[in-house]
Amino acid sequence: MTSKERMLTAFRRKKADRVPVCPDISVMVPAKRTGRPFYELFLDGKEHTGWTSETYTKAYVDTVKYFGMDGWYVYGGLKEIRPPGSPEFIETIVPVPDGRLVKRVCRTSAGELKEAEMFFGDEPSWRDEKPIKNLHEDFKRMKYLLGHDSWKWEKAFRDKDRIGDYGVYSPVVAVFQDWWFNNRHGGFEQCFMDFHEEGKFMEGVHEFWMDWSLAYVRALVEARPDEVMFGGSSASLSISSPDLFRRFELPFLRRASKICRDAGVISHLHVCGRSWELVQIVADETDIDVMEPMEEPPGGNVDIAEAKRRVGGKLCIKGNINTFDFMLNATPDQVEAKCKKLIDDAGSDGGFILSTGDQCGRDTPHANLFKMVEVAETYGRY
Amino acid sequence: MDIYQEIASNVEQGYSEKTKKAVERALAEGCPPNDILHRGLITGMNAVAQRFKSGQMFLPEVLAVAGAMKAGMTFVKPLLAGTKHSSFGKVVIGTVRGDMHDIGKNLVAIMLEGAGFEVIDLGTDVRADKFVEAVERERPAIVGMSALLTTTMLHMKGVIEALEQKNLRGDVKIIVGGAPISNNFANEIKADGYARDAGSAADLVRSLLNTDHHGTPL
Repeated sequence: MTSKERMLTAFRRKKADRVPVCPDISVMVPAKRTGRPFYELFLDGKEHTGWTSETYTKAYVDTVKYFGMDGWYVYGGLKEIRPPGSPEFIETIVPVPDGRLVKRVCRTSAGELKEAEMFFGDEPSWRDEKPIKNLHEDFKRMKYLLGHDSWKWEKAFRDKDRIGDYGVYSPVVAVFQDWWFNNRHGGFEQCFMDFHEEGKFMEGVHEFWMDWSLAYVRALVEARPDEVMFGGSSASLSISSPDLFRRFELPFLRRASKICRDAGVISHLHVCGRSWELVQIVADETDIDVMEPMEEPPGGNVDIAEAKRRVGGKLCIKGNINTFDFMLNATPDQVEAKCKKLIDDAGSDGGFILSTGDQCGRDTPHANLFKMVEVAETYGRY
Repeated sequence: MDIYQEIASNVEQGYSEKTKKAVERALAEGCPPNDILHRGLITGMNAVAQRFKSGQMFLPEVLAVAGAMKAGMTFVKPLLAGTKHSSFGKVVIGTVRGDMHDIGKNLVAIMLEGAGFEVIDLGTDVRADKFVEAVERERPAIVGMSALLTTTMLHMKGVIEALEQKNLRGDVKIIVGGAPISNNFANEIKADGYARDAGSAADLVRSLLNTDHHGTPL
């Protein structure tokens, strides 16, 4: 089986030739392997549809091949077709001592939106300034930026072949709290204050976002990706709450996962950190097919054996080894023992992908990643 | 339910307006500000800290509670200024150099303020010399450092060394926290304590300063 076939078989909760192995190395490990500053990888000046850059996506695929793991390409998407003259962000790159500061300005007929993102040499970028500062005024401008309706996208993915058979091509749609956090200046505190104190206005924001996001999901499934991933880091219960998940994420996930299910495309929810309280909700109340990374303590609170017992009949599970302590500090022998236990607990009858509880840190020993692959190829053989 | 229980209950439920009104009423009835602070506001906040620590409460709810606490404090704080009840102690807190993550650090600040400590928040990406300057200027009892990245957590040691070089290390207790931090790491860099979450941070500070939930020396 190819890596793509193996992952897709597990997504369908069936047995592949072996347990797929796909530790989350989404940014840090491939970037460090190149030996180049992160800002150089991410600001390559080439057109790329989706987040990151063409240069980075190649570094990711190279790293998948280097470790022999099953790939999970989450960097692509569809290019939006916008009416001529539509407002857009114009960016200026300013060299600063710690890296590159990218300043972006968008002029709409309702006024300017501004944002600034710092790209460092040895870690992922950080947005210093986000566009929505004055809630009501800037959201009006944001609607001009996004367009009010009739959204259109290209019909095909430009980079699907980049991962080819080395893994699955999985465009990402951010869930509402992720999207709001990425656009609202002032951090999570401000976002939660908006939800608490501007409830009615935020219902309107949510409705607009949902129309836009569901239109994008429809366009994605028509372009036939291997799966569609809903990125829900900010819905993690390490940050947010079950109430907010029900209020803002569940209505979207129900409809989006049904669009995928009806089109025969797999849907996938990522919620890192504490997520146990959400697992049953997702299994019972949506058509989501895959949930990950089901993070174990101390970063999360999921017992994967219990998750498999409760929801293994409805969800493919991907996870869940701690990254910021175990993967960094464990010996390969300890990694081997841990992976074997995970396969025993969750992988014996398919529907399981051996992975980490979130993204591996940049200094994760390569020996530990190689060991995960080795265990999947030997102990994980069906 | 007496007025103090009413204040505590309003804080616990995150009702800013009701907390404010109950505090106003308590003051009008002649309740001592110190009792309003301890038996009302802090009692409510302590209950929240326990529920958060045990996983029964979530961050958005804690932020609403912090808002209610602040609303109540706007009336009480000026009346306590300059008295021995104004604060249980001063804490300087910040996320270390190169690290922009502030959620955990902010939550610790909220919990400490709710527990009656004065918090000087230096923000994120704080260099060692800024921590030193703040210690010289503020004379805190505690310095708290946060980091989310394995690369930036190493700067915590630099802050401790900088305080040692300025002969300030003996004046403060140092606490550390953040996802990649462990008790072992705290010991390695010679910090005085490690808290695994924001709820535990207030307990740790109290234990390092040897005080109970109401700031009374043990």
